[in-house]
Amino acid sequence: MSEVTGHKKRRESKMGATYFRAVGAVFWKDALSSMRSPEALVVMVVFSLLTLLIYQFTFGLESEVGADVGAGILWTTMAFAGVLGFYQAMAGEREQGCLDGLRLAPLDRSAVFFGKWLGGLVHLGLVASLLIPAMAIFFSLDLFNWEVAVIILLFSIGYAALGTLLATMTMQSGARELLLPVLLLAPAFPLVLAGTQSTQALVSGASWSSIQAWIRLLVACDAIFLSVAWMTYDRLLME
Amino acid sequence: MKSTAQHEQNRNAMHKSLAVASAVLCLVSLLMVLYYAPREQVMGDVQRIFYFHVAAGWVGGLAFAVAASSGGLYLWQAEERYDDVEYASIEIGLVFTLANILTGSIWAKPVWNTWWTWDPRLVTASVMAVIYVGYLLLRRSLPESASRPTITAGYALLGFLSVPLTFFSIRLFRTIHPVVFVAAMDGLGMSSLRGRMMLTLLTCVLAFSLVYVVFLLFRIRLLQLGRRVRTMQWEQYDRQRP
Repeated sequence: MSEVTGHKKRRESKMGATYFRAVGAVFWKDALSSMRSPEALVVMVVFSLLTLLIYQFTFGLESEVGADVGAGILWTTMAFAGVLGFYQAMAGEREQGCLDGLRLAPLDRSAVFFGKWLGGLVHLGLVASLLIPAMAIFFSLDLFNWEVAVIILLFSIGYAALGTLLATMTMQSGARELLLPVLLLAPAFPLVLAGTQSTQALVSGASWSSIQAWIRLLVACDAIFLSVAWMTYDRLLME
Repeated sequence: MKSTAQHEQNRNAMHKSLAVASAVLCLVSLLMVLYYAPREQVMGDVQRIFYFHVAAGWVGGLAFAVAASSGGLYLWQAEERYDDVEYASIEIGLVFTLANILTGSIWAKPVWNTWWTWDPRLVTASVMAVIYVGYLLLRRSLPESASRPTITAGYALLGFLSVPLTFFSIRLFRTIHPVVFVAAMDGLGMSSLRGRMMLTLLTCVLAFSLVYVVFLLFRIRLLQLGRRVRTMQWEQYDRQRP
């Protein structure tokens, strides 16, 4: 009975400021740990740059990479770099019983999800802020406009939700680092597709209104991934 | 005890009669595809593979929809039987999806002059298959614990997003994949499916759906029996322990 009331209370607290404080606390905990040992961030930055260089090599050093291929390179690099970030965010929790600490903390478990999701969002934002200038330097691709920023934000919202959720799911499996990319990249397909198609269209001169179908797909995916995560995270972390 | 045995006997008899019915219906649909359906004017006899191709695709989508619904129900009520339905349905759905891709590829060789092309429908169908292969990998890598059904149910729900995307891909994108069920095609002077062809297709869809139901019932039964064997093994182990 007491567990039911406790559960009810936790649900009620979701509406209050305590909930947002809990989300902030989880996010800040991860941010602090990332800042104190920034290896993961450095690895993500180096990995992203390396991916760009490998792409240029595979297409041939003399060949000119067009706008459509450039947009594809941007989104595949974002997707791959994201896998590293999501894995790292949950791998830290496995050490020294941190996960048990999170489970025992008097806060709604979905607040843990949103804290982690916010961390994933910031990670993807950092990768994007590095990639956009790099694309301009290496591939002469001008992506400095608000439309691309909105697409990146919409992509990151869904991708961070999916990544955080799947990293938590695979954490309990025997083959977590092997499994995460396979499990993550396939359901993320609509996000990557919408991101690539809309950026390609924008770069080749299409207007914002003509890419609305892709934007709607991004928003729909964001809503689905966030709601599935919100519905299941409580149970995932509990068991 | 007797009533349980009686119940099991009845259930087995029902499963058997369903299996026989599905086998008969499969034979009928095969004969219809080969002899009843008319020869397509442009593609010739190779078009006949279309009946099995569509039926397999339909069962794939149906199986994944059943799995996603069972996943949702498991998350809601946490009953083991929903987890069984979800797992069994995904296994069968994956087999039918692969059959769908394979028959499509066999059809494409003479018609498109290639086994494979990067068409939106082909890509989305392959992504869908990979998602559910991922489901099986995830399930096998997780220890048999209370959290496993929760995790797999969440993934089954997420993965289901790929099913409508695959279905609508030929309507959303520019594609060379034929769109068969469009009312507007008649208006454009193109013939939509009708008559003997439509009847053959419906028979195939019905036959494959029945095969799916039979497979599902047998697979669930197998999962339940496996669990019972494990429980008996544990009981035996407990008895032998000093």
